[in-house]
Amino acid sequence: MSAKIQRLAEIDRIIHEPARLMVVALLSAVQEADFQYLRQATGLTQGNLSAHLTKLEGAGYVAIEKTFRRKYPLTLCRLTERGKEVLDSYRKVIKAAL
Amino acid sequence: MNDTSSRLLEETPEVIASRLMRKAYNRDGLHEIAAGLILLTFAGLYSLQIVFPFGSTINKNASTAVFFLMMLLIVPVYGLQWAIKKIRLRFLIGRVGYVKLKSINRKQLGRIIAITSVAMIVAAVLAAVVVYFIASRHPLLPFRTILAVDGVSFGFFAAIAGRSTRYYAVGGLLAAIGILLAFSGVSINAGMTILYAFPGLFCLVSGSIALSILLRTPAEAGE
Repeated sequence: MSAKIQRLAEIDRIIHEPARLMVVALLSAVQEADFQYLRQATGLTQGNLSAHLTKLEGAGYVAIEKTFRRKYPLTLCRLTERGKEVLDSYRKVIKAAL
Repeated sequence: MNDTSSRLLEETPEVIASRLMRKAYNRDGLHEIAAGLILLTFAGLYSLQIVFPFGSTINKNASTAVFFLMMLLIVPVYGLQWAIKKIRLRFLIGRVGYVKLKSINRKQLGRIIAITSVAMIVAAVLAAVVVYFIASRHPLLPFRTILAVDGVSFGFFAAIAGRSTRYYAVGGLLAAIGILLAFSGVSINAGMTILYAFPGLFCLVSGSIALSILLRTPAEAGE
């Protein structure tokens, strides 16, 4: 049991933050979503979400692509393979420890 | 947010995400407006059977239309889903955003086919029973219980389809009206008209309010 508890120390701090966890959980269920959609679904402010996405992109967990649909600018976000692996292992560690 | 992280322990990310997506999806009220239109169509067809005498061409056509609409309910439902998707992409993308769902796998496809089949069988049986009792002017009383059965079953479908407060309200309204009508002395056509008209109007109004609130909020440019 203590070994499982000790694994909590190795938990990924980027994904552990609740707002980022929400973004990653949301992206794990869809193929891709734009910034506006994520903002609506998570209830985060524009600046807050932007900062979290930048962190997730920097860690390689989320891929961001800036594009247009008709005249509307879209910031498309999708979870990378690395992001999927990290979320999966995060869940396993937390479940095993608690 | 803490709620999300604690739920992640008990539920899969897909379950949490689908809940969040449903919440965001119901924001524009388009699904309620579509449901309201379907319910009001049923109410309109039943009211035609009150206005025009039994045996008249319009009465017969309205009765046939109800039967086929119930049997093929899946067609207008999916048709309106398609229309909602197009409207969102065309007019509301700046407000509700854009999302592309994962392509469905074989297991999910099987589940969809099973649910659709059950829904179609239930709808067909209900339609056949209603039409039989109306057409035969059955002397026995139980025909009015079909109002309760209809109200409760459609109410249940509405609640599980929307899984949000407004949809639970519509589901409850359908069930309550159906049960009340079953115990009242109204004719089956008048009962069906009332059963579908009130929840239909409720859906239309609540959906329109949700849409107008959304449209009043200024669209924000994507990041």
